[in-house]
Amino acid sequence: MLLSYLPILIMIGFATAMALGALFASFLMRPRNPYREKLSPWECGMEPVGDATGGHFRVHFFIIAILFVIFDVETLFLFPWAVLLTDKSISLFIFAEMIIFVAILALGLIYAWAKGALEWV
Amino acid sequence: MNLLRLLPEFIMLGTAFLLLVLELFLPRGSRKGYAVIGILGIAAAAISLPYQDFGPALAELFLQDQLSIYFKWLFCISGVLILYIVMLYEDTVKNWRGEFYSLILFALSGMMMLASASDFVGFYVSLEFVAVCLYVLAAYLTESRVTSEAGLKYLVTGALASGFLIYGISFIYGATGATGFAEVAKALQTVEPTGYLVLGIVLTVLGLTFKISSIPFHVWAPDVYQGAPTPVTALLAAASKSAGFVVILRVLFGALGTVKGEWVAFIAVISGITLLFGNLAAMPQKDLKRLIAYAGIGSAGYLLMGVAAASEMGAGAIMYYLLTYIFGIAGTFISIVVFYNSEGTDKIESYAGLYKRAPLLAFSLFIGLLSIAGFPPLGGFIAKFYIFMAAVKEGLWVLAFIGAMMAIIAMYYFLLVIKSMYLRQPANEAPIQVDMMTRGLLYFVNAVTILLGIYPGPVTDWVMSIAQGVF
Amino acid sequence: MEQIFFYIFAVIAVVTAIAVVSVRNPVHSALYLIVCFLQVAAIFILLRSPFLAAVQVFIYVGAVMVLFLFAVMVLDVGKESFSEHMHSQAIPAVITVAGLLAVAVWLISTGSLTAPLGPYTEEALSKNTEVIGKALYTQYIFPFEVVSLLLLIALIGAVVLVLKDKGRGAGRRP
Repeated sequence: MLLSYLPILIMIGFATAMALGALFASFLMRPRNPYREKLSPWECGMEPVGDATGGHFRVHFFIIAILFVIFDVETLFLFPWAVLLTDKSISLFIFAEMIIFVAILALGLIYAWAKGALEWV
Repeated sequence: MNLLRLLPEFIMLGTAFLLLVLELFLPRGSRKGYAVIGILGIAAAAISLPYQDFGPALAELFLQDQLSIYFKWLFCISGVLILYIVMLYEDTVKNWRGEFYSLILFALSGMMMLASASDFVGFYVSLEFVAVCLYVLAAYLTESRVTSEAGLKYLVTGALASGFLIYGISFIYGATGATGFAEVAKALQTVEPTGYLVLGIVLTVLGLTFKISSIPFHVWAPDVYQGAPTPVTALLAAASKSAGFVVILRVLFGALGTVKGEWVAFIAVISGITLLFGNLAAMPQKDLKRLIAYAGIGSAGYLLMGVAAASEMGAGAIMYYLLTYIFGIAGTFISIVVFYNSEGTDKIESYAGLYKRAPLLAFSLFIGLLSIAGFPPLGGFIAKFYIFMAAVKEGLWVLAFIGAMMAIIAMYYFLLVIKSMYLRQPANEAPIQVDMMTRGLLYFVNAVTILLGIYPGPVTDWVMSIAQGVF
Repeated sequence: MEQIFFYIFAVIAVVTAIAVVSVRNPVHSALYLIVCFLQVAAIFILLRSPFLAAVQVFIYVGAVMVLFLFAVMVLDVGKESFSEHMHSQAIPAVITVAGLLAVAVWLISTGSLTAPLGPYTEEALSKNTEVIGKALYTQYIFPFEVVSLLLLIALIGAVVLVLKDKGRGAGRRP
């Protein structure tokens, strides 16, 4: 059973090796010639103050984050449901059950939409 | 599966959804009509209650029995009273948004499900459902920093407590291999109580103390009671506390009743500390809502005393206490909202001389506060009396003694408020207007509180007969 | 073979977990947390629980991480030092944690922490996801549907609390 995950492991290992390898190769091959101007973030304008993670972040994104989380959880519930759908004796019942579940969440999405929570200006 | 047993919940949820959809279409303006729709919805749910047959539904995870019906009555009563309070309260807030009503209905329907949940999973999920509604309600007025702070404190404490709860439940599941309350009780008849079980019980009880605002998860209560919108405070004080105790009755008496030796002492200690803390800390308070918060912590101590008695009588006393408490809280909070609408403050000193300005408000506060304190012959007295009797019968003398001392202290700090309302001169003589509807409701609530005190017979008989089936 | 993989995943998980709390930049620590969660997901697969692995990736790596990064972005935690906010709570906290640890160690060492095994055999558990699905969608429909209500309220709550209606004044009272 675990063998079926081997391709995933190989893929992850391969991807990690590629990424690290690319970084390492560029580290070996790049010309090294730092000077002050090149190290400053912009070559014109003012010196930067602070970093980008500082507060200027609209709280509006929170609704998007919550929407993502909620539908993420919903998707998760679909996995065991999808596996079970092949079982003919209960498939109709659980299908209806999931429709109710999704419908209630869809109502939430409609609510957010109608309230203008998804508008951006 | 018998979905008709969920009819009251469906009616409440349907009303909540209706209000939610209405809010999308209606233009801005007063939302008092929502309160009327909500009250009608609750009334419809309440009418369906006596016609409910008993038994399980939804794969036996939902149980309709006498206990759940009683608590659903409590939630319906407090729901109607609280929606009326919201209607009064709406005037003081600019740009009121109608989701408030539907969130309250969602919370009440969640509490109804909680009263019927007969499984740890269903109960935990329902509890979280109620909790999320209450988090939003507590922080509802986003412009007010006090309210936002209240909501945040409530959320953080609640999340922590809920972590304790789910951890404890998982230990209980580990020890018994079952999640249903009945199955757990059955498993415990054969399995010896192990360390896991004790750990599970301790953590579960600690998690539940959040809902009933007792030690150690009481810290949110004063700030949230003071900062949250007043109807939410009433909801937390009346309905949410009842929901916490129906869960405690189901879990401790129902599921873990066979191993009561493991938890009685623990509950008794929590109860004693809660009694001492709540009542002693209430004395120096200056804000009426904050005072009621500390008094509410004290009340949780009394109710836990009934739990520590671990007898049918204790269960019955808890149920009766909650009924009288809801009416005491309702009378008090209607008066608080009316007073606030006129004066714009909740400070105790501003209540001075209220009797000269609005005798009915002063009288309602008099009845409500003294009933909470347990003054004879009001409803709260009978409830406390039963609690003491249950505790003494099980030999909890020390606890009963602490309770009696603290009852005297409770009367002291409430009488201080009442004294200043009746005997001191008002700073401002202008009378406070109370409209006809509110007058009628206040008379009704006060009459019920007095009636529960002088003629408790029918209700106590009912409650005690329900309590027979709790274990 | 399995054990070797377990140790690889476990060591990476522990190392990245330490990195989470020790690196300075909160965004970096969030990235380390993702790596840590992924290792835990891999361990779940070693334990024959593919569904829990999926939960780990979806909920923790996906959802929790989004909220975590969101909090980091909005609250600007980077500049504040931890000790400023601890006041004098560190000592009671350490005592409490040490006490709980001592109780746990005592209970485990005296052997009073034992529990019966669950009803599922090794063979039944090989169809782990189906077992979970069957329990969730037939036995536990009540909590399952309540979960959808819970998520709905979370969404409504977010909209109500975050969205500022145009032309709205200040609420007068707490």
